[in-house]
Amino acid sequence: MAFVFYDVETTGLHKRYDQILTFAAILTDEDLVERDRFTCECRLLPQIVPHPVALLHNGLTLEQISSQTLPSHYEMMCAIARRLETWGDTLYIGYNSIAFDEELLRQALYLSLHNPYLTSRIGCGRADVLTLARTVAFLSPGALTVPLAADGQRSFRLEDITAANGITHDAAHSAIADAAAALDLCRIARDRDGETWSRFLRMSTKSAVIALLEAEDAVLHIGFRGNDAVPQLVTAIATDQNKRFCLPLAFDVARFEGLDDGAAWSWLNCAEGGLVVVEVNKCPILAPFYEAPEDFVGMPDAEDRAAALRANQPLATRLALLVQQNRPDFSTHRELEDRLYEKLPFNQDDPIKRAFHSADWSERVRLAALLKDPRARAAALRIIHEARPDLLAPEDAFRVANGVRRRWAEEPGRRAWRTLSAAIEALDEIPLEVRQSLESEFLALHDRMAMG
Amino acid sequence: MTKLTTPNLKAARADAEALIKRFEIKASPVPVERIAKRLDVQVRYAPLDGELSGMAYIADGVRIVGVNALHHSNRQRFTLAHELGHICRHAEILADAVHLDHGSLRRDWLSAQGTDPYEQEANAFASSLLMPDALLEAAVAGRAIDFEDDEAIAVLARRFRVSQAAVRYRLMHHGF
Repeated sequence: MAFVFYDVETTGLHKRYDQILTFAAILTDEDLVERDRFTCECRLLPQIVPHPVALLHNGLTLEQISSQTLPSHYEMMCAIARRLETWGDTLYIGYNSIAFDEELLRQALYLSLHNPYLTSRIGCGRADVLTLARTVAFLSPGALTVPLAADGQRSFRLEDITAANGITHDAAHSAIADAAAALDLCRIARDRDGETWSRFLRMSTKSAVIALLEAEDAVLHIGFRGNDAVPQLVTAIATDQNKRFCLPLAFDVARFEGLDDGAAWSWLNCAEGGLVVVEVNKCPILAPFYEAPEDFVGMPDAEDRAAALRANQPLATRLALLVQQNRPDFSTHRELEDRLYEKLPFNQDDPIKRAFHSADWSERVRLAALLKDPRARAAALRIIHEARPDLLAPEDAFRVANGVRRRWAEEPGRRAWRTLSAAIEALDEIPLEVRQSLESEFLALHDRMAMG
Repeated sequence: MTKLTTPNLKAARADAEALIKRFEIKASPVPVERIAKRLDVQVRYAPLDGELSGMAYIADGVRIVGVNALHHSNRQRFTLAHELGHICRHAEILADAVHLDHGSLRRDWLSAQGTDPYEQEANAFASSLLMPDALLEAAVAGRAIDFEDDEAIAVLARRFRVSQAAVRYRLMHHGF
C-alpha cells in the first residue's frame, strides 16, 4: 500500500508537553483509493494538564478524557505501532503533519518504548498536505480555491479550504474526518496539477532530497513565509545533520567575506543574505533548475553561477564553520520529553523493549531495569507507575509521582509545560457563554489539588 | 508485432552509449533525469507498492515514466534509466492495447532481470546509460577491478550514484 493519511487530536499545541488523545489513519493505495482505516483514543496521562481551548475544539470535557474506561496512552501507542507496522512501507501524510502531528507521534512513540522514527524509517516517506496546498495554489492558480478569512487574508485552515473546494468535512477537528479531508485535497491536487503532485512526492524521502541537492548545482526551492510562497534559485553549500545550507545564486560573496563571523551569520540569516536552510527529512519543495517552471528561471547563467559558488572552497569552509558555531545547544535538557534528539535510541535495548510490550506488569518491572538507555528506563518506569505503582521500588515510585506533581504545580515562568494554574488562566481565551462547564471542571480540579 | 524472444544486449548498450554521445555527457554521475527531460519523457514519482520500482507508459501520446518515490535515490536512478530503455527500445509493447488499458508496463528489475528479454535489454541499456564505457574507464583509471573487492565497488557506486548491485551487474554482464 502507498499512503497513510493521518491526524491527531491533542491536549494542546505543545509538541513535547501535550499528548495525543485521538489518532486516526486511512490507508490508501497509490491511486488514493481507501483500503483500510483505523482510529483509537486514550485517556489523559497523569503528568499532562490539557489546554481548555483544545478541549473545547475537540468537544471534550476533563471528565471524559480522564475516564478509566478509555485505554491508557501506552495501550493506545502499542495499538498504533502494531497497526502501522502491519501496513508496511508507506508515505505518511497529513495536514500540517510535518510541523505538528509527526512531532507529537514521534514523541509519543518514544515515550512508550516504540521506534520514534517509525514513520521515517527506510522504505517510508513523509509529506505534508498543507505544503502541497500552498504550492499548488502558488504554481497553479485556480487549481485549488483558496478562501479569504474574515481579515481578508487567504486561509489555508483545513476546514476553510475543504469548504471552498467542495469537500464534505462535517466534523472538523475529528481526527478521522481531518484525515479524510486531507486525502480528498490530495485527490484534487493530483487531478488538477499532476506535475506539482509528482514533484511533491519525489521529495518525500530524505535520500531523494539529499541526492537532488548533491547532484544538481542549481535548484529551485519554494519556501513559505506564512502562506506566501518564496521561490528562489539556490545551491547547497554546507551540511549539518538533516540540514543543508543553501545560498541564493545572486549571493554577494564579497560582502560576506568582508564581515566578521558574528555579523556574517546575522547577515546570512536576514533577507539580504538569503541563506536557505533545507531540512532534508521534511519534504521540502525542490526542483532541479531544468525542471523549474519557466516563470521562475529568469537567470540564463544560473548553472554557471551555482557551479562557481560550489567551487569556492573558502566560502564552503567558512559557512560550515559558522553553521557549527551557531548550532543549537541541546546539552542542558533534563526533562525526558526534551531528550529524544540527544542521540538515537540504543539498539541493544530493542529486544528488551519488544519483550516489555508482551510481558505482564511484574515482568515489565524486571525488564525496565535491563534497559541501557536511561531515557527508555525512565519512560518504562512512568508506564508501569501509571498502571501498577505498587510493583515499583518505593524510591522509583516516589520519583515518578514527584515528577507528576511538579508538572501540575505552579512554577511561574520557569517551565515549558502547562501547569494547572496556567490552564485556568487560559480559560479567559474562551468566550464566556461556552466557558462555564469547563471552568467548573478546572476549578474543581484545582480545589482537589489544593487539598492534597 | 513480433514478440521479442532473444535480447539484443549489444544493441541496447549501443543505444545508451549513443544518448551519452548525443547529449555530450562528460562526467559522472550521469544526469539521467535531464536526459529524460531532453527526450521529452515525463517523469512522475509516486509511492508504489512494495518492491515495484517503476513503470513506463504512453498516455495521450505523452511518454511517461513512473518511479517509486519510496525507494532509495540510487535505485530510483536505475529505475528511471531502465524505463528509458523500454521507452527507447520497446515502443511496440508500450503502445500495445493491453498495456495501454492498464496504463503501464510495470517492472521490478531485481526479480525480472534474469529471463524476460525485454527486461534484459532494459537492464543492459540502464547499466550502460548510468555507467557508460568512457566514464567507467576514467573512473577505473587502468586498474583491474576485482569483483569481490567491496571497497572498490562501493567507490564506483558512489561515483556513479548507483547501488553496489548495479555496479556488480554492469561488471558481471558486460565485463570491462
